[in-house]
Amino acid sequence: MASTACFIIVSRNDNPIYEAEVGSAVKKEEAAHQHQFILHAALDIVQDIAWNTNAMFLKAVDRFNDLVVSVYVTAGHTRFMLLHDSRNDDGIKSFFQEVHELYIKILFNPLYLPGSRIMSSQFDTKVRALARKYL
Amino acid sequence: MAPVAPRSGDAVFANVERVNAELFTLTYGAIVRQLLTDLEEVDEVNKQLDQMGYNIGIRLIDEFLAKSGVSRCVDFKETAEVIAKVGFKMFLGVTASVTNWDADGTSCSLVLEDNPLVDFVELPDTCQGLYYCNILSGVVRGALEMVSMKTEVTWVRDMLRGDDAYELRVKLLKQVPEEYPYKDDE
Amino acid sequence: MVDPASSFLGKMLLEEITPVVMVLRTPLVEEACLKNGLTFVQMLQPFCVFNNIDVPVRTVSDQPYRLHKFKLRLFYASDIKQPNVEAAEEHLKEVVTRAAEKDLSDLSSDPPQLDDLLAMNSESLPLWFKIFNKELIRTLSFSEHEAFDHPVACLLVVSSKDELPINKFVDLFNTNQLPSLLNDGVMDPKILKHYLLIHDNQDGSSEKATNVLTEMRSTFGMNDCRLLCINSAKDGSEERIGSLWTPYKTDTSPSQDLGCLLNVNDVSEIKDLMQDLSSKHIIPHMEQKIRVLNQQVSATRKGFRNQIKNLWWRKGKEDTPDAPNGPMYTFSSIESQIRVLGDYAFMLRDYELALSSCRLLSTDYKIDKSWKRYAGVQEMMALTYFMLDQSRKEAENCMENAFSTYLKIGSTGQRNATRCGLWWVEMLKAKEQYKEAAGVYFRISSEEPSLHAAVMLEQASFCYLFSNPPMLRKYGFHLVLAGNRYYMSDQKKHSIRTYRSALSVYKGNSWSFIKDHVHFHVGKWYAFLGIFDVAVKHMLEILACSHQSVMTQELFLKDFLQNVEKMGKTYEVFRLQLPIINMSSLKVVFEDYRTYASTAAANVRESLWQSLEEDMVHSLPMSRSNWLEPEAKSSKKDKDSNVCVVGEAIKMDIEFKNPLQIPISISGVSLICQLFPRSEVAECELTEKDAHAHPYESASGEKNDAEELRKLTSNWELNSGVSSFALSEVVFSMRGGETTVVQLTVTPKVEGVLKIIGVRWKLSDSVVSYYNFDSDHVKKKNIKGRKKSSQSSSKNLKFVVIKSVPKLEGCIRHLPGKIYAGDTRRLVLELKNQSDISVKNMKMKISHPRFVIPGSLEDLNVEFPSCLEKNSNSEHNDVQPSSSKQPKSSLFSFEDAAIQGGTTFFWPLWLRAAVPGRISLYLSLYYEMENLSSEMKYRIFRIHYDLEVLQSLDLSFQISPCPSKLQEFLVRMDVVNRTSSENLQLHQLSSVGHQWEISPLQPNEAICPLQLLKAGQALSCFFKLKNCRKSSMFEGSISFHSLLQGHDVRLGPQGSDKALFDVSGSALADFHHHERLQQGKSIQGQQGTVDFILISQLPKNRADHGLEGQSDLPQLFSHHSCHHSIASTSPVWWLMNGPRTVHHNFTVSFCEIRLGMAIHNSSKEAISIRMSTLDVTSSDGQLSDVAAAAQDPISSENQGGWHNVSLGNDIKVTSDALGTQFGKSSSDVMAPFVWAASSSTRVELEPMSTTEVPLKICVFAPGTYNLSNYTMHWEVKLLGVPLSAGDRTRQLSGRSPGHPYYITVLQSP
Repeated sequence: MASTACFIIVSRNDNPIYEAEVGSAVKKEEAAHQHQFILHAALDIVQDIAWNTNAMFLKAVDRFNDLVVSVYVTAGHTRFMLLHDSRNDDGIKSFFQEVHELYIKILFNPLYLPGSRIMSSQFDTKVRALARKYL
Repeated sequence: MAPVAPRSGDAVFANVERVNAELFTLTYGAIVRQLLTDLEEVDEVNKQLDQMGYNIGIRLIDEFLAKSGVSRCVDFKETAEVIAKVGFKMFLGVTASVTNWDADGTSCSLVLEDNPLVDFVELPDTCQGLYYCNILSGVVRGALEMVSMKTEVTWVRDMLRGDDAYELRVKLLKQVPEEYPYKDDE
Repeated sequence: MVDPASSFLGKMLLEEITPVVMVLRTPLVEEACLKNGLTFVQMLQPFCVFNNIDVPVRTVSDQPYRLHKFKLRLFYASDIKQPNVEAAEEHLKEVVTRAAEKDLSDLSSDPPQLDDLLAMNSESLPLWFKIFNKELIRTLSFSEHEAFDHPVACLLVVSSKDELPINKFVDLFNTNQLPSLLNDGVMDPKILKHYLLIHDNQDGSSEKATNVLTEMRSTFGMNDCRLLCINSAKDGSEERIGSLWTPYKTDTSPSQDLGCLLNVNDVSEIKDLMQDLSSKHIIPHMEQKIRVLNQQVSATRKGFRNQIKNLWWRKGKEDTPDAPNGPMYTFSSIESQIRVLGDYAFMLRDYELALSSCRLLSTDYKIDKSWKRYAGVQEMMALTYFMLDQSRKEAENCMENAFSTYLKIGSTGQRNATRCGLWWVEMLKAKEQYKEAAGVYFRISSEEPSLHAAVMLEQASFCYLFSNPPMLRKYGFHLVLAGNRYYMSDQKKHSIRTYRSALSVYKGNSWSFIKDHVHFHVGKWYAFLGIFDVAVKHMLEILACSHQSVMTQELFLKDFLQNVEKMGKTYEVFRLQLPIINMSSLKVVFEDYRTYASTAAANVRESLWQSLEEDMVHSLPMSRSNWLEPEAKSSKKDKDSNVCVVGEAIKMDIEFKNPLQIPISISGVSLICQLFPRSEVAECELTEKDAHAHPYESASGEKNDAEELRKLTSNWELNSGVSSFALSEVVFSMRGGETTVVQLTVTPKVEGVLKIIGVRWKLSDSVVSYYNFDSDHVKKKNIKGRKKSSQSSSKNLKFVVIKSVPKLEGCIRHLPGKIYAGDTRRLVLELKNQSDISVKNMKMKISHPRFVIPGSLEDLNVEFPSCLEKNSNSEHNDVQPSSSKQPKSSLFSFEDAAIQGGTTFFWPLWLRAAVPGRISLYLSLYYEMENLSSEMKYRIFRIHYDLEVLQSLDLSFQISPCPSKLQEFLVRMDVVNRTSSENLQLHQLSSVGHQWEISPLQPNEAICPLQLLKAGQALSCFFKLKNCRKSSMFEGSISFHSLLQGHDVRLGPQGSDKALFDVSGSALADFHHHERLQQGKSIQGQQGTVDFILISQLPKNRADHGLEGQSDLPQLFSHHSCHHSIASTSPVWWLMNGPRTVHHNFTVSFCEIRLGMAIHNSSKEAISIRMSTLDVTSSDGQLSDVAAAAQDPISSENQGGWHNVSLGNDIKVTSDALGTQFGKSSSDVMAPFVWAASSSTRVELEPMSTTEVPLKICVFAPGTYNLSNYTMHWEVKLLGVPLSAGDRTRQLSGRSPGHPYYITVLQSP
């Protein structure tokens, strides 16, 4: 399990629609905005890469000091971004894929309008479970 | 005179033409969402759904009777059974179970374990109090009204609200007697 | 791809990596120069740069090439040493701060917009970055591990004023003041020298100087000596040429004008001095040295043999401990010579040579593990690669290599790393690889102290901005990082600057934490600088940060408030987000003609009230819609706006929500209103217009709103004393996440038009915030439905204030919240009339007459339970009619009661909890003003209570006719006590209606065996019910009241002397009446049915603890159950009476028995009854008779004759066919007897009358006979009156078989 892992889903218009600190490390006060900064900045890189590959899982696209940003881009150009300090690519990959499943379910919920914040609690719990499982 | 109504709608279900479940679900979802945006008020939406359901029901019943080969039911009990076993199966692909009758057999519960309408659905906080499947209750009400049973259909349990099943309470208000074209004079 | 030489890096190299000339001079030289405000070096500097000296250069290769640009760097010997760190740091710092100074100006301006950021290009970068970088690089000049800073030549300068100039020249160049580089043998002390004699023309003529020069020439050689005459200008005579120096002299002070004493030919002299110094001496010297070195190198190192040897030899020195910068190399060592070779080659633009030698060198150093040198060489290679503009790959590899190597050797190499990084960056930039460049910057920053790091990061951010496509997010991020570093090395202005430009990136995205961070820090730093207003503005952005942790929220709020108070004045914000106002919950409660007793009443749906009040208000001349006074004043606009009364508060419920998890204190919450007295109504219209125009506009519109609000409130506060309306102020504090609904009121004091515009509040006494209701239309649309009145809220917030009218207030006294079913008690309706005008002709409408009915004044002053008892009966009877005149309508009008101004009015109400469940009572009280001049003719006072009724007694009755007695019935009463805890004592059971008389089965015994009915206990007991209708009652129409007069049975303990309650008493009677209505039959007593009233009480001992903690106990329960139909529906009763057993001696004769049939007509019409007896003589029986007659003529004849006659003169015989058949069918079961006398009797029965019909039977044999074989035909005689609806349902005629009546005839001895 990664000591720090910050998972964010970014909508196609670059707003975070889901955020979760799934790291095992105790959450520090300033970590929150630091992680956001890093991930937000990483979006630029994603933009570069995403259009050059048709793979959904772009591996580690960006790093800040010892933190790595791995990204998974859905067809709808929603981006799953994971900020982590551990290295297991395939773990992360399968994490992303399963989250993708969940996300699609969310999308199918007619009462959820795409691009809005994901409030669903069960989605949250599932994601955290996945994180515990894979990261 | 109880006719042998097919106790399960599988046969009928087998040869009605299908539609992709997800398409169906999403279509219904779209309707609900639109209603929500238009009417802004959850209970308004509930009403509207019920009304729509009613309008479906009053048409659906003919189709149902035509296809399912069910003829007149002796009593409300049997009617309920037919709805649950045949009707739901035929149009929704699932069968409901008819449970807790009240003493004088005028109200019962149709319990749906699964419900194709609500795949993927999750009620956001803003829509608490929405009876997402309210259209079903409307359908049942409408259909029964066409066969001269005034009923009152309400949701007792709703998985979307964290219950373990969907329970429709069907209450027979009054049974309009069938008029015969001629008077039977003594 | 640009020519590298012309790229920025190229330029930089061309001027940084150039031959160094060491200058040694005597103090007098300086002195002479300083007259111009210039040091010697400074004086020469402008002339060290040659943009086109056209010098042919020939290095190793045979064909020469020409050198165009060239530059010399002059340094005093004293300066040729590694600059000490602190000084360097200071210098850099100073550079940065200076840069910050000029930024402060635009700090208070708006942050830069994104798009003009994008418009920027690398040229528009602030200049001081370049300066900084250069300075940074300068900090490590003259390092001994690389040779391009090593002096190439040495310039010895002596003034002509010096005595013994020659000696001076000599000892100028003695070792003690030479730089360490030369002394400790890093570089070759044998260095090209050039001797210069300075002559100051102001010190007279120069022949002395020329003498000296010749002397010099003789000693130092012909062409190494020169004479330079300066200060030949007459004071102020020539034109200024100081401008030459300004770019070189950084710390220039305007007072002195540079080079004031230098005139043109001085300058030209200096110029060609430098010119041929470089071209004639330095360059040739370098060429020559290069060639020499090259030969050596190729001799020792080129060629396979040398390679091997070299390697072997180095192997030899393996064992040397590798110091951080490897083994020490003296200038004589081949390595340093190669290095020199390389550097010289580089300086002379012979890049191939430089490159080759560097390559050669790098391997050596690598093997020697003298990393620093190795890195240096790598760096050099990279640069040469760059200048050669071939394989950028190589170049970058080398740089990378150098960089990492420098880093590897730790602190000593770190700054070099930086330099090399900077070069690298420039390389990348030159190739427009901004992204990579930024990356390198970032790597540098991680090595440098915070200040440098900051600058690096900022440059990195710009690189991101310039990269294509621009990476704005990276840009922002690095700006923030930079800002952070700036802050650490307290350069607040810089940090603010960076953060602000970062803001332009983060503006309007929803990355909450980022925004909070940036805004918060910018705010904080502004506060540091004392620019509080901006600080507060930024702080505002982050106040409503529900996503943050508690401590963060506290921090934010704290800082915000601090800044605000530092700012001195109270800060005013338009729609501050703390707390949040929930527009959808906005609710206005105002009282026009309808007034409310409680908010609960106000919350009831309007339609409900209207339905209740319909017939009350119908009775008015004018309809509800236009209650305004019918003059012109009630124009259109008034119609669609609400009305309120002067002096009566308009209440407004607003829901505040605290988004934070920490408590906040709100004070001074009040509405913002505008009241236009009647006179100004017109222009109020106008203002209203544009007020409505506002919200559609964007931010600007809101601004105006804000202004308007501010204006309004301020001028309200000014003259709040004499203001035309009074506002309520609320103070409250909210816990974290709490939502509170606050009720604000505005009370108009004069007539006119009042508009509620918004609400203002103070956050913890420092921040005033305004909120404008009108300015969000979206919300308003939503709440339309929800609002109390169906008008849109904008209308709703506009009121027409009319002059004051009386208003009733009041309540129902001691109405319990919980009550047991059947509980009957007296309440008091209390009405206060505050005003001085009295109100009249009050009417009251009650939603549930079954539960509450108005009493009569008398009820007030009698004490409660006993007033219902029999003894106090009399007074009720005469008040009775009043309350029950037309009992159907629940509209009750107080008979001409008027409430004088300022008085209080009481009226009794009776409450009876009819059925269990929770019910809400609505009382609506209508009243009219005494003086009709007022704009309001009438008002309605609405009272609303919720009542929860608990189960108490369940009652059921069964009635069966009593077989033995005429018109008597057995009544079985089942009572179950359903209360949770209460024990009830059954007190009495009364049958209602005069025609019924209920009595215990046995006259004198307690009916119910037990004293009181415990909770959950059931009981059933029996009564006798007697119909005792006297026909006398039928004169005239019977009054409702008399119908109610009932009979009671005491149920309580035997011999209890408690008085019975009078069920015909007003209250009970009325309730009973309503019960009857409820149970849904016509009021007209049908003789078919009977009503019962069961009255029970709480046992006396229950008095100690109250019901639901209520002081007043329920004293009386009355349960009504109505319309119990008695068994038979036929209006006739009959009873056969006669002997039951008869003794007769049949030997004598057959037996005749007389019987009587009592027939009673209980209906109200005359009835004709025909009783027809059926002979049981079966056909065979008859035959036998006939036979008998034949045998015995007399008797038979007689018999038969009688028999025949009896048959014969029976007219109805045919009609009896059925009967006889019936008789026949049943004949065989019966012993033979015959009805004597006429077999069919007809009687006319008056209503309610009884007759006795004599009967006689003849029995021929002893036995027991059942005389049931007769039938009763009855038919209601309708005396011409058409059938009433009631009658049609009723049965008009019928036939019933006889009751069984057994008679036994015995043979008497």
